[in-house]
Parts: sequence; structure tokens; C-alpha cells
Amino acid sequence: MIWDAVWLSLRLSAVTTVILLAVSLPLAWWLANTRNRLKPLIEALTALPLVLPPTVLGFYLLLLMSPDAPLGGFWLRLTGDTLTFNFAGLVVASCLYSLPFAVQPLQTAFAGLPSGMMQAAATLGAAPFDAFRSVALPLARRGVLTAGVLSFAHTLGEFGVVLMVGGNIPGSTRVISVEIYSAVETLEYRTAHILSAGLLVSSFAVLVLVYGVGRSRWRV
Amino acid sequence: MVRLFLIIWLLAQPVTALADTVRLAVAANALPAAEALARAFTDETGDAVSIAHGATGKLYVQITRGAPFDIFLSADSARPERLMREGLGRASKPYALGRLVLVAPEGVDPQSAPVDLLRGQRIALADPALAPYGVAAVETLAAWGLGLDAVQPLLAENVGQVAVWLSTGNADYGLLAASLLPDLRARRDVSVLAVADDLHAPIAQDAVWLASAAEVPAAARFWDWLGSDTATAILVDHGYDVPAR
Repeated sequence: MIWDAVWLSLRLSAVTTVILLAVSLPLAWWLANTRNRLKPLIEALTALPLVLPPTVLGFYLLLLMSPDAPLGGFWLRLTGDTLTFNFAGLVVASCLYSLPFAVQPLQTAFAGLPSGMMQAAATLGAAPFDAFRSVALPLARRGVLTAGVLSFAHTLGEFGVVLMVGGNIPGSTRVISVEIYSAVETLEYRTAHILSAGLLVSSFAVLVLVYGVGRSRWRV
Repeated sequence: MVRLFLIIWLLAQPVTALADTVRLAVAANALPAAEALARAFTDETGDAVSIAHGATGKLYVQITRGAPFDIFLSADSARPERLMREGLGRASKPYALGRLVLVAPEGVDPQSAPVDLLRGQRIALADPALAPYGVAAVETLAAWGLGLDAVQPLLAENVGQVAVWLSTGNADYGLLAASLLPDLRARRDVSVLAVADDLHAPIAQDAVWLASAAEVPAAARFWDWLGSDTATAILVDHGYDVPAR
């Protein structure tokens, strides 16, 4: 029972982190380099999950992902399964919920790159994507690592949104935080202790990693 | 500096401190009824009522940790018994018998053999580990010859969440507390089958007058009033059977 929840949370965090990095790399690069007037709007949109309570996200997702709604209905026709009460729905929710934790470290890292680097690479004949991959990305690796680790850890601790759209289904949507909540309500404090201590220790380790990276040989 | 402390002190005061208030902790299924009870009680006595609501299990845990409630309207009789045993309750008594309904999409006639209707369907019900209505729902399905593995159960944190999933179209079928049906019907057209009460063990809902509120006059007044004809009528109106007195 406990390990189902742990394994599920780890899977959810891993899938979310991969998707978020794929989406956030171009988005953060654009944000770091653009002079577009819309930039503040996009930045604000990305940062919204930092300030909104999970219940707001959960409420809208419950409506959007319902089989009655266009998004939920489309997914149902496509896969034969609903988005709510399913792993796929949790991935959608987690990607929105953890977006700022991926975008912001990347944007900071990209913005901090020496400005001549990309031009130099271009002068030497590198195509833009090639220059991004072989110059910008390695230089910003600290940001990439921070973005990945924070997205993973933040998703691991996700609770409110999952409670609203998840449905508490073992092996599918009953993640660690929901398992802890249920354990406390049913007075299974042993289970609650094991899982809570596990999250506490792993979260602490993750943060030590993130802060440690800032002043170690990883430093660019 | 003094003024700053004064402001902080004032902000820290509970808003209701001046009025005579009874603080209710209410199981999710009983929230609509409790709100109606509160209005009637306030009209009659002038006492204010504040209501905190949630899953019975959660409220129980909060009470054992000193949550500031006077009277607990539970969804079961097990938690109230436990509170009495632990010396946290001053008195307990049954206040309602919960009724269960099967909710189906509009146009579907659940009267015709729910077994065939429900087999393989996603059905929202309260988590039996957390909520008495969940236990009754599982028993009802079993009485119909359906194990939880014969359907796709969606386990809600409490029976209120079942209503949310049904009203937003995230679940087509659900086993809901009859007391929550009016709120659901206000938002969505559904068809309903009243579950016969011999299909599951009675959902005996007990109230507890918490020991910490022994000296709260408003709590004493509410406790007595809970057995009145007015209160009984309100409970019946909200889909409950009322235990014989």
C-alpha cells in the first residue's frame, strides 16, 4: 500500500519533470532573450501557480477535464479514458502546478549567459539550435539541474490539486501526500509517520543539493 | 509601539467573541441540514452558530487535538463512542439516520436492475476507510451482487466530494447521501433511486457535546434544541430518518 503510493509519486514526478524541461527550455530561452511587449504577460502567466492556491487550479481543472468539457471530451475520444481520476490528468495538473519551478531557474540561467557567446558561435558557423545545444545549454547546466530537481521535488509534494481531481485511486492517483492525509484520518499514524518522514528527509536532501550546487565545482 | 500592539491584539480577536456562539463541527453529509438548523436556532434563541465541516474522520482527529468546537455532528456512531470513551465528550445521542441514493444520468432509469446498469461503470462513492457513507455504499453494491472489482469505484475524500464529481460531470453514477441531493439537483438534472435501507447497516449519525464546551451556555441550549420538533422537521426535510425518541 505505502510503496504503491511512493512508486506512483516517483513516476508522476519523473514524467512531469521530463515534460516540464522539454516545454520550459524553449519558453525560458524565449523569455530570457525576447524584447516582445507581451513578455511581462507571459512571465506573469508562468508564475501564477506560485501565488494561486492549489484549490483554484483544482477547481478549474475539475471543470476543464470533465468529460462534458471540450478538453476532457477530446481526451476521452482520443484515449477512451477520462482525464480526471487518471494518471494522465495528474500529469497535466502537475505540469501546470510546477511550471514556475522549471521556467524560473532556466530563465535566470539563460539571462546570465555572457551576451557575446551566441554571436561568437554564430560567427564560427553554428546554426542557432546547434549554438543553443553546444554553447548555451552546457553553460546553463546549473539552471537546468535546479529546474529539474525543483520540479521533481515540488511535484512529489503536490496535494491540493490531486485531492480535487485525483479520486484517491490506489496505484493510479493515490500519491504520497494523499496517502498521508488518509492515514491521518484513519488514525494510522505509523503509515503517516513513515511517509511524512520520508518526504521530509528527501525534500531536505533535494534542497541541500540545489543550494550546494551554487557554490561547488558545478559553478560555471 | 503601544498602538501597534493594540492593533495586533484587536486583529487577533475572534470575530464572534462578542456574541454568544455555538461552534459546530459537521460531517460533510450534514452540512446543508446543519446550515438550516443553524438559521432556525439563531432565529429562535439569538445565539450565533459557526460551522466547520469536513470528513468525519478528519474532524475526529482535529477534536482529539483540541480543535475549538462545542458540538460535533458526526456521520457515524463510532467516532462519537470513541470520543466518549476518551473523556472528550460530555454527552452523546443519535440525531439522524442517513439515507443513501443512487444517482444516474438523466434519462437513465435506475429502477430497472441497477446491477446490469452499474457493472463496469465508474461509480463515485465516499472512501469506506474514511466515511460511513462509503461503508454503506460498499454494502449496498454488495447487496446488489457487485463487488468493488465489478465496477470502477472513484473514492471521494468525503460524501460531499461525490456530489462535486457528479455535479461537474466527472462521474455519471454515484452513491450519495440523500441530504446532498437537493444541492446536486440545483446544478444538474439526474435520475435517482432511493436505496432501500435494508441493503446496508443503518447509517446511525450521533452528535457529541464536547467536554471542553461543558460551560458554554449556547452549546447547552443547542444540545437541548437538537431534539426539538423544529430540529426534527428540518432533518426529515433534508432526507434523514430521525431516530425514535
